[in-house]
Amino acid sequence: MSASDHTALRRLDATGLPLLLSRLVLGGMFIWLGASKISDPISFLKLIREYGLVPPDMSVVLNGMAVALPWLEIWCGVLLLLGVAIRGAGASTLLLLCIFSFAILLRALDIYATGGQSFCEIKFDCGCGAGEQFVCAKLPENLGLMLLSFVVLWSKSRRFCLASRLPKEPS
Amino acid sequence: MSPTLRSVFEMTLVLGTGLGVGLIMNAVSENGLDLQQDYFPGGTSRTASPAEVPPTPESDSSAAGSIDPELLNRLASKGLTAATFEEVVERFEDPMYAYEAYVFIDARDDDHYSQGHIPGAHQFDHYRADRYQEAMLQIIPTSMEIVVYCNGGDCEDSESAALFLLGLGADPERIRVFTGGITEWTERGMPLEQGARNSGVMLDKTP
Repeated sequence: MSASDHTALRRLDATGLPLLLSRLVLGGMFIWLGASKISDPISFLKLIREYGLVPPDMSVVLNGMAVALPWLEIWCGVLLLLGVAIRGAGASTLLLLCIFSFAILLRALDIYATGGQSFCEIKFDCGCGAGEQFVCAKLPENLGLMLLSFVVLWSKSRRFCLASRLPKEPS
Repeated sequence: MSPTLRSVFEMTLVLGTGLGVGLIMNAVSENGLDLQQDYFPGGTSRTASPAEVPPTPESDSSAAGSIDPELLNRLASKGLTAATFEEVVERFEDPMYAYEAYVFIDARDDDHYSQGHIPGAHQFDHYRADRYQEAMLQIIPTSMEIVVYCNGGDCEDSESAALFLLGLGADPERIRVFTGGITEWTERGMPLEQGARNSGVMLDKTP
């Protein structure tokens, strides 16, 4: 990327619009997906168990994930929408999306290895909150959300953020 | 503090707070999970490879004809025995069913149970075991055989519920898992009861 491109991107960032858009989409998605799981923790527990990532004798970890992950998603979403601690919230969403996507990919490859269908025909309820989805649609969706998390982390603008309106600590 | 370090610090705070909020909300929620509870006793999931489970015992041979051998192996590995649709119907139509010599246990949640269950079946949602434990403790010693079912297909709740019943002192030889579940029951045109147990409200199957 040339220096002029970088300057143009920074100018665009200074408007605060890329960050605002990223916060709204990412925050809204995380709140929606988290809220859809909260009312039925048992269903979510069953779905995340399907990944087989937690050993059977570690039910505390599995149960803890089932009850805490949806609230964590909502918490990140609320922080992003409000514009408070957005660097931490953006890093958290990026980390979560990386873990979720990796788990989905592993499970899809596992199903693919059993044969019988092409990779893009693989469809299952990933426990993401939106029901059954095709892997070839879910993974790009997650990549898009990761990109938005990058924007949140990269942006230096704090326009439209509640944090910028809070009184600063005396230096 | 460098921006990267600050991001990591903030992320730790956000993750810690979010997870903490989740655990607190779970503790105060009516729908909360018991973190210590193993909701999937037996351990083996349906994704386990056949090499991980022992061969099907001879006692299962009567059911082997119509039930997936992999499923039979999985049940056997948990010390459980399958029941075919024909065997379940035989017990349902037995006059002793009315006297609870044969007891059917529906291992699904409240919504599914009230939408339609095998007439006379008790509900035992093992994820909420404390709500049903007392009733199960009365049923276990008095019944000749207990048939547990859930949706059928991929559903493992009947197996988990059966293992819970074993944990409550049920005799493994008197517990059968109806693997076809409510799906096979319905598809084969058998009656369904709606609402509470013995409500008498039968599902209208006319189009």
